[in-house]
Amino acid sequence: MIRIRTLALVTITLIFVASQGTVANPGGQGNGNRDYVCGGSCHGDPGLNAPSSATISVSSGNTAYTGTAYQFDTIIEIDTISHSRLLGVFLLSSTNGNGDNPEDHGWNIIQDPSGTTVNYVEVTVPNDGVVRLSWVLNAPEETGSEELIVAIHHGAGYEGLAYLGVSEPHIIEINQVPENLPGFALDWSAPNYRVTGDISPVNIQTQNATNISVEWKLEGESLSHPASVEANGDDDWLVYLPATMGDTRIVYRVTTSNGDFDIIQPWLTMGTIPPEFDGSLMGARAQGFAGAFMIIALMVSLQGLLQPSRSKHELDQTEDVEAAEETPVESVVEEPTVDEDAAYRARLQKYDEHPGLLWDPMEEEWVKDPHYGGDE
Amino acid sequence: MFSTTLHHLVVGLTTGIATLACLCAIAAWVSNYFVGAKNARAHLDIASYIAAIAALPLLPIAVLSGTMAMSDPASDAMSYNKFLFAGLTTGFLISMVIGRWRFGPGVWNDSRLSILQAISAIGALASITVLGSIGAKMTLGESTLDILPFWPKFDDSVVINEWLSVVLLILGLAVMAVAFMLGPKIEDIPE
Repeated sequence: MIRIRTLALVTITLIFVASQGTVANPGGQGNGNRDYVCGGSCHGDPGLNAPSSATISVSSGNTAYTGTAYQFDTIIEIDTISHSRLLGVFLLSSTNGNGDNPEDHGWNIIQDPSGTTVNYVEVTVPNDGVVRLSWVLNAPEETGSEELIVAIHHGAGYEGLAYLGVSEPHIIEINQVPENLPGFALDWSAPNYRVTGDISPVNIQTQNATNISVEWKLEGESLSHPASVEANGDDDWLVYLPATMGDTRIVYRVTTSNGDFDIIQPWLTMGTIPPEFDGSLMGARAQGFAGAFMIIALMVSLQGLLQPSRSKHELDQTEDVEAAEETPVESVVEEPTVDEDAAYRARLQKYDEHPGLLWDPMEEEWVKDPHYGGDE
Repeated sequence: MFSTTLHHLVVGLTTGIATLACLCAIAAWVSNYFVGAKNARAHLDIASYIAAIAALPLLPIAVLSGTMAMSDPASDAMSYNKFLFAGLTTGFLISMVIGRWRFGPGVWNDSRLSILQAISAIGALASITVLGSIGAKMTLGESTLDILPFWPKFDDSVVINEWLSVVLLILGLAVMAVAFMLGPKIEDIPE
């Protein structure tokens, strides 16, 4: 009894210990807008996290103009990562735990590294351990000094600990935009995705621009190509980019001009998504049932084909005896047919010296002559 | 909300019972290769048979509760695949039960039929595992099978036109009827 109680106690303790080890989010939390300390998850618990050994560096300029696009580039070098190789990266303006999103400090995220407009993204760390990420933001409308900070969290090995890292603040001087500086419209956001094969133009809205030019390249390529641009109204443009397929991501860069300035904007990324799913509930049910019936039909047929042959036991002669009783008794001696009889008679040879007998040359024997009279 | 709770309950029951049925069937087949495992085989056979019969009525309840729990069922590849794999699971489980019912407990004594029963069990087990993994991916974003170095993309599916699916369903019914009616006569295999 004591042993059972001890075993139960140990089991419960093990369950508690195991659950403590899995409170992190090994599958990630998904991209989104989050404050530092992962939006209320357990990662901030001092008992469950440790400092990350990753190196975070920022390679962007320190100057931006109010309301204009600014590209923030960061490089994260990480040597120890979890089995899933998942890394969560924050772009923050503070590390207070609330109001940390750059958008709370006047910035407007035009595009994040995944192609959407959030400050937290999760990426898979490549084998070389180097992650390069870029956010494109519209600078705040107020001049002054602003900070942008990169924070990361990740797992390592199969441990349940969350490893946290924070970069040094990157200070950006926001200067007054020169009057009439051409750029993107303040309320314009870059499109994140296009459907596979879509060749419809991308709409770009600008301010103070009388002309734009666009160059594009596939992600990872070094050479860029010019894109065709068509005016769609004042500060409104249609850009024709080639259709993309599969997982291809296209990057493009807009140069906004107005005669006084030619401003080269940051590279923007656009992913490719598959066409809208066209399945229906009825179709799914019908297809599911069809699959079930086909498998049953196949298996039932195979059962019939593979079943053992009905061979009887070698000593069991019951069936033979019963069959023999049911069938009428037939003559054992075969009666020759008419043709056979005629042929037989034809081959018999008569010799005068042997009256009453005929010679069968085939069987080499004497047989009685049926036509021999008794008086001869 | 009730559908979600019911779905969790029924899915747990279905998965557990069907997994038991499949594992017992596989073990019954494996026992053929061990001398003196006749008694164990008899127990495994009974457990597998009863568990498979118990799982069959639970499967449609799990599918229906899952359908009710979703706001837009079969509108994405993952949930569409759930319907397809539910069909496969049902097909394999019913085949297993039919095989055992037609040939009796002696089905395990015939080498070819016992392999066929084991194939049905392995098929059902694989389909259930995939079903559970898709469910976990949809709700938790991860599944236990993520540990495998390979994993099919369940965010893609084989979608056939709705009416073609209905035609396929009728064809499946016809083929099944033919297999039952025109197939060779089945007899119990002596133990």
